[in-house]
Amino acid sequence: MYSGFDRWAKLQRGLFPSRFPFSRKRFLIALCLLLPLPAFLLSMNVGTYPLSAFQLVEIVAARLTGHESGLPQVYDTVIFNIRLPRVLLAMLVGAALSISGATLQGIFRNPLVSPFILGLSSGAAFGAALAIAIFPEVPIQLGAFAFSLLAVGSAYMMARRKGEVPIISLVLAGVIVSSVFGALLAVIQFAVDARSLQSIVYWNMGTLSTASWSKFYQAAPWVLAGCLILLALRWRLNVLALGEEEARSVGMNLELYKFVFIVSSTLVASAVVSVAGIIGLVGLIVPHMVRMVFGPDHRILLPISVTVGASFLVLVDDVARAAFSFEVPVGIITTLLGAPVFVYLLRKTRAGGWE
Amino acid sequence: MKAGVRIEEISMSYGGSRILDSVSLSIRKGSVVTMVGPNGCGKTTLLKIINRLLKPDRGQVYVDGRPVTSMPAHQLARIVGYVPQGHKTSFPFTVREVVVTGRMPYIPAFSSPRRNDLEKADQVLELTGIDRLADRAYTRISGGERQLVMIARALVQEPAVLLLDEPTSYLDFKNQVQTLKMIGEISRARGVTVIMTLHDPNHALMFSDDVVLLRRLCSVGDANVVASGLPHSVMTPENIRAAYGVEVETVEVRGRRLLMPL
Amino acid sequence: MRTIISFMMAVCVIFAFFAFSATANGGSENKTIQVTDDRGRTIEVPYPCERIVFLVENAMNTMYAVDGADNISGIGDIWMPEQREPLFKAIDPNFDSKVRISKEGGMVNMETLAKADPQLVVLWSADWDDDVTQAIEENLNVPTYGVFIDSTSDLQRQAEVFGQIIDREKRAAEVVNIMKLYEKKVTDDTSTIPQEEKPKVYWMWGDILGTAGLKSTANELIEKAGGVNVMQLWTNETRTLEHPTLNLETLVQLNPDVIYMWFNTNLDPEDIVNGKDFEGWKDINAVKNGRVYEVENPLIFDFHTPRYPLALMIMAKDINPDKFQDLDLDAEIDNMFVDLYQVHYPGFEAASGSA
Repeated sequence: MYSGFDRWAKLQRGLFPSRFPFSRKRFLIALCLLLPLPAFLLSMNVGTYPLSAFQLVEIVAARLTGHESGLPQVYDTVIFNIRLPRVLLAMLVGAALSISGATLQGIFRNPLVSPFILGLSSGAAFGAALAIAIFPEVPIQLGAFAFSLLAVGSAYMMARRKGEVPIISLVLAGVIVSSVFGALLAVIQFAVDARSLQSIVYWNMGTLSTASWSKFYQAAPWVLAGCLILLALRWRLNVLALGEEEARSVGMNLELYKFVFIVSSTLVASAVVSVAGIIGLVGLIVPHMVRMVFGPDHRILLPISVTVGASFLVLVDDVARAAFSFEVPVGIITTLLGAPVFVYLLRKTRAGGWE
Repeated sequence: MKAGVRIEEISMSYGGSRILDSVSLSIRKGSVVTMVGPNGCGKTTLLKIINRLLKPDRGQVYVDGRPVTSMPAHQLARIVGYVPQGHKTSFPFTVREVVVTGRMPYIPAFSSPRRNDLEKADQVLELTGIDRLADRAYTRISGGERQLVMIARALVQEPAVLLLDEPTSYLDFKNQVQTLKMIGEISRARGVTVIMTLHDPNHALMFSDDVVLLRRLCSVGDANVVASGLPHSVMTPENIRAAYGVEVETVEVRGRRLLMPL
Repeated sequence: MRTIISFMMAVCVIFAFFAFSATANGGSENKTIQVTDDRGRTIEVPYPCERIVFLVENAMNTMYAVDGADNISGIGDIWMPEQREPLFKAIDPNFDSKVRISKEGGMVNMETLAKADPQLVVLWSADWDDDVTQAIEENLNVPTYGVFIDSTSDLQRQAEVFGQIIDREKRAAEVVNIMKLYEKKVTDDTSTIPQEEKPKVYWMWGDILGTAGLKSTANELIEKAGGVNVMQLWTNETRTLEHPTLNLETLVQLNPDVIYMWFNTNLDPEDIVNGKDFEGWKDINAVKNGRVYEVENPLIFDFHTPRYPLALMIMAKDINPDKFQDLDLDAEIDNMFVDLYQVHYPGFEAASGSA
């Protein structure tokens, strides 16, 4: 039916169907996929502790070969116990919030959706406040994680009728759950002393300043598992994004997939919110930016959201931890830095890829 | 003669009012069947019941002799394709990306479309005459073109039965005729059973092998189906009056019958 | 797209390797000593401890009093530095060369902290598993001393513990004696005042209707200065909190004879006596009789430091003026500064010949 060349050209277009010429788009994709590497290397060289790149290499080499570097022990501590866990946690958080946001935007077919649409952040904030103020014996991360899942779970159950979960009901249930947990949080904030109140407020802003290996390990398995599921199923998001009836008419088990997508994206986001607090805008802005450049195809959108999200947050956190003499909550900087970038792209690609 | 689709005693109510009451139909394999009737007569509902998008209160639908409720969703999607009315999406997917989602029932869960799926998508794009749109954003083409894209998407499912809900509603006059002709050609070429709903009784007369004329249920004891069978035997002034409550007369133009409202 | 998956796997493997190699770390050093911090937690500290970081300033005053200037390697934020830093500089010639660690909003930059290479970090900690505390202990592998003061005996105990840690136990015993001696100058007189003659005192924190609960240092100050905390007369169970809040009607009903304001830049005693926003207060005895006092110099009136007896004297003189007519405050302040820090007040001139 096709000549050899035609066939090949069509196949190429099929794999990379877009407004970009084939080679340029492929180059951009490769660039974005590799972005975390330079971002990681740069971030390892940024910090308030004076360390040269050469010393960094020396210490890493010493650690890898098992020899003594001859440099003070504190250098080793700064690199392996302070900088590395923080850089990795920032990347983990950025990747998780971005992939979660990209997935939920696809399911809800709405540009204003963030990972927090179903009440995740309000639940987490309440759980954290509970652990900070009322039950100090419960770890903050555990409280935040449990209540963020509880919030999303109750929104989902609230929206569920006769085995179906209509999107519009989900949105409304999310709004209600958010307000309820918001009110409960206010009750706690009203009742606690100033010191705990401060802890709650700063937790809500989101910070990576207390990053540690244990936090990284707490969140990483959930993020990894959720990401693998989402990445494996990512083409099905294309089917789902066309509409519920359209998805069902091509044989998609709609409620099952919606459930799997919501559970995976929630686990991924809850895991990182519980260790880093509520870092806003990343989950909204990164998938949006990626979609503006690469189009809405989730086969490309999801993996690139992971790598761009990881790079974005780790670079923003570099500013948060090293640009000033004091720590700035990274959530504030994501907003201040992210908003102009977002506005620029929005204006450049009219309607931001949404119609 | 084998029935492509058999509808047995389907009843359905929406919010307390009965839409369909014990409807039974038998549709020949490979034929183009049009359901016509006034708004609210349940023709779209019936289409969705065949495709299992809606669950009837009572009754059963058989496709190729098998009840649709006995099939897993992906199995059904390999036999039945559905084209909704006036579809929109907020994502600027390319036309090819939209069409290839029709391969869903053939693609394993943890997988994406392969070469073979993309080739099939390109084939139906050619068949439906929209291959020039393949790389355009679905959100930037006309309503009529979108309709064709959704038809292509249903065809790439390789269905034995194609359901179309008002396929001409967003098309201009020329495209209405072309699309309906194309549907007939596809049906004949691929042996696909087509069941569609149409607003215009004259289109039903011209482009169908069989017509099912439906009416709204008003009083107890009414039947949904006014008449069914060959177009010119169904679309008579008496039947139209019974279905729509309007008076029409028939005119013959070059040996073809048309309906004119009085 | 297979490349994406394999790329992600590769990234995971690299990170896992880093993570794994980073856990194999630990150093066993020389002698250590076990002490109990203010929260009642037992910690193991290198002995004698040579590099201590104070993220809480009031405890640093204790460390300076027990001759620990050389043992301080890093300093957190200082409240009202224009007033306090001259004192520290007078006591400690190396003050300016110490690492400064900003603790803006409860967030500590770990790398800046690492610059001080601490063996012990002293921080304010009301919570058991405070986020910052955990991060410091895990990342720097350094014990933390949680400061929590709600009585003057806490301050005496703190001085003893600091003495143990830096091997200055003799000096610590002296400091405790100095505190007791100066305190006695007030309590000798106030202990003889019959309960019914003691004025009822309302302590006013910066939030106006926030006050000193029955379990607080300010409460102890009032009692020892020969007053009765009006909270004694309140029946609400929140009165035992460190910082309870009440409403104006309750305050009018409790009807204090004296209102004692914490240092407040927005409000003066005259505002309460004459101010138009305080009409509701005019029937309170303290307002009627013009007995509203404000802490004027928070360097002297600092009851979370070993200088608390000075706060006690100032307050005693204000609320029981007839009993303490002869108390020469200026002389007492100067003497206590010389006893504690070997500098005169005001001016911080070095005192010669003292211990």
